[in-house]
Amino acid sequence: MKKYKRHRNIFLCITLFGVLLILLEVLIPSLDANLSSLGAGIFAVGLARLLILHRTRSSPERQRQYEMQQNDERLRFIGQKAIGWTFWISVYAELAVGLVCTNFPIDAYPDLKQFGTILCMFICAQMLLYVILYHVFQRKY
Amino acid sequence: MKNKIEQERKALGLTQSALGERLGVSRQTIISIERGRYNPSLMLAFQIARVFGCAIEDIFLFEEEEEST
Repeated sequence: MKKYKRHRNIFLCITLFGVLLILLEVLIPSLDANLSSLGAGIFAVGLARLLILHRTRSSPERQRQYEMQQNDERLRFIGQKAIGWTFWISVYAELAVGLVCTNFPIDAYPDLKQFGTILCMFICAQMLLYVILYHVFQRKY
Repeated sequence: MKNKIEQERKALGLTQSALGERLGVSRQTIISIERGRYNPSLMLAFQIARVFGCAIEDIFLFEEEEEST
């Protein structure tokens, strides 16, 4: 029940955030940042998750299954493994793109080198964050 | 890790779903543990042993080859 309420609040916030983005573009047309399309997507995702959550609450059996899925340690393990792999694949992909953009500039895209440099700096920041967090968790556990 | 969960479960007349419900995990998790594809946490291992009324070492078989990996 606790997890259900927490998830409901999270999805509610996501939905409202989507609405906020749409309203921002409607109320401030000069922004010109395509916020409404982003907001519509976020709103749709939030609303869909809220509807799924509401459906699970319609029967105690579904709610029990939902709570069990949330607490299942194997699913948590799978999620953490997927996050770990995604992080490393992303870092190497970003590094490859950054190095290519920096070292193989194209005349048609003069900002490519700068983009590559910024991307490489971003990767350095990511790795620094990883090292810091690793040491923090090493001390904690 | 090899284990005797399937034998113990059948001896008690439990289905994988029923065992999963008792332990608070999904049927897929029970399947993965029985096939040795997923090693449960210490907490879950204790809970499994408690359901079957025996010690952890009686359920989970620690083999020398696993130590080297």
